[in-house]
Amino acid sequence: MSQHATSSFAIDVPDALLVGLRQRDRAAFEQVYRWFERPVFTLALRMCGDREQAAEILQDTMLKVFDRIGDFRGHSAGNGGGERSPFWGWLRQIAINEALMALRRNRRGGDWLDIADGPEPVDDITPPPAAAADAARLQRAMDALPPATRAVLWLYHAEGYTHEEIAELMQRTPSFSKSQLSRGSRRLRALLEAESLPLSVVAEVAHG
Amino acid sequence: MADASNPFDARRRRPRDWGDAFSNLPLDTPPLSVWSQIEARLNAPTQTFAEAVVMRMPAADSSAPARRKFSNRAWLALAASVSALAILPLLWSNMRETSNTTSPTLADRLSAPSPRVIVDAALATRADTQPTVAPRDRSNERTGTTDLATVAASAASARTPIEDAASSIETTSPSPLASVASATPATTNSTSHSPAPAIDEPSTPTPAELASADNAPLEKAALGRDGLPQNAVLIGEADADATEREMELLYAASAQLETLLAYTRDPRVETGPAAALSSEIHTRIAKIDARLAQPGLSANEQYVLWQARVGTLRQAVAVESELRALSAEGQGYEGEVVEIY
Repeated sequence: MSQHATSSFAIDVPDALLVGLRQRDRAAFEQVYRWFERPVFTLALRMCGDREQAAEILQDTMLKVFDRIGDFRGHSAGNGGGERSPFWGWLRQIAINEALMALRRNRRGGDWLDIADGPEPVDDITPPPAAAADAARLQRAMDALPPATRAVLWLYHAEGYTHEEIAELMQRTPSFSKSQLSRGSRRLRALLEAESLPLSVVAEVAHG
Repeated sequence: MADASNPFDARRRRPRDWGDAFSNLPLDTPPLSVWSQIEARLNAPTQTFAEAVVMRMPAADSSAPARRKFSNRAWLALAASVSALAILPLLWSNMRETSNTTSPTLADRLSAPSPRVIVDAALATRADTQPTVAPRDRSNERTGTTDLATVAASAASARTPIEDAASSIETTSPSPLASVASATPATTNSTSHSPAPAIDEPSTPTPAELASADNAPLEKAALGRDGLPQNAVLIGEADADATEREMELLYAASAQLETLLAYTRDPRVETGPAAALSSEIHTRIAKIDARLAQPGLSANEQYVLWQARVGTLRQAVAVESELRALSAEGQGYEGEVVEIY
């Protein structure tokens, strides 16, 4: 997994809290929920683009965490335990799986940018436009992307997954992930730059 | 491209890369209701079937749009109904196996032939007056109202022993359970179903007898003057453990049926008569709940009331399912369904 992205999930959970969780202590579970509700909900919202569905994903994720905590063999924090995965990584994996399952259930969940046309994508190393610093604009542009493309972009850029890992998660090939990332980034850039135009020009474009 | 003349763009730091831009996005806060939904599911008496059905339960504050979305898929509600009808007998048989090692409990006793139920009586009454919707020999009927009769027949025949238990106490004939409770020793070494307790076979009243004995509304027949069935089954003190297990099963069945009912009901396909019927059934449930909420109820009274609750809920699910099925087929037999129920 690439290290350039700092996931919002990267929260070290105290061992005592994990012990409580393993003992199925309801208070410990609520504390874990409070810590991770926003990262899980945000991930689900970014990938699915629907608040209602994101709330369902959060609910299902947390219930699975509570139900399957016995299966977790890692450790509480991300800086110990050698090769063992941290708790937040395990929880994030559940959340991503739930979000991808929700995408597959959606009628439009399998939509992505067409990869049949055009040349083989190349890595887009150009910095994003300044408009990307505007959260609302960036969010609007993201919402305009097809769901699968949006998921690839988010997993790669925000969560730091590699193309191989994304391919495995989405049951696709790494080249699919690369292609969606490249085309999605270009589309995102175009959408943001279009939004940066003066309102009069945008209105003209929007109306014909 | 950034608009240099825009002061907002000028003040913002241009992200180094897409990862930087994404990580600057603020975290979204989920609806408060998500946690309450999770708590409700954690507090559910059983997570087996309920979990499967409620898996896609939306957050409470966004339930209205989710409900509309869900309602568009009538097949899903029907599939859930079929699942419930399939699961409850399994649940019942499982209870029988677990409780069989100690004593012949109510589960065994309830497997004895039970008197006809009020619903059948109502069906028979309708059969007398409206032959086209007769519940008897309905499998061979292919008249203009056969579809309705088939649906009604499937609903009536798909009752589980739980409903039989609930309905058996709604009859006016002596219940076999009472005699078993007094005749059977509290604990036996019976380990199989074969040495069934000797019980007095009840004389099964005919639907006509029931119909003539009960022209009152269903809840009046089901609940006596004091709110309990007129021939309520009294459970021996020695059966306390078995009763507790059966109560747990009744709680679970009640919760599952309530969940199923929430998904099955679709106000869009309800007409006036159907809505009135649905309201009537829910009033029955509310009356039972009011009785259950009263302090000082004995275990026997609670058991009987919970049985009645499960039976009424099953009836409500059957009504809603039939209305949805008929609506999906473009048929409008709400009047007949209302008359049957």
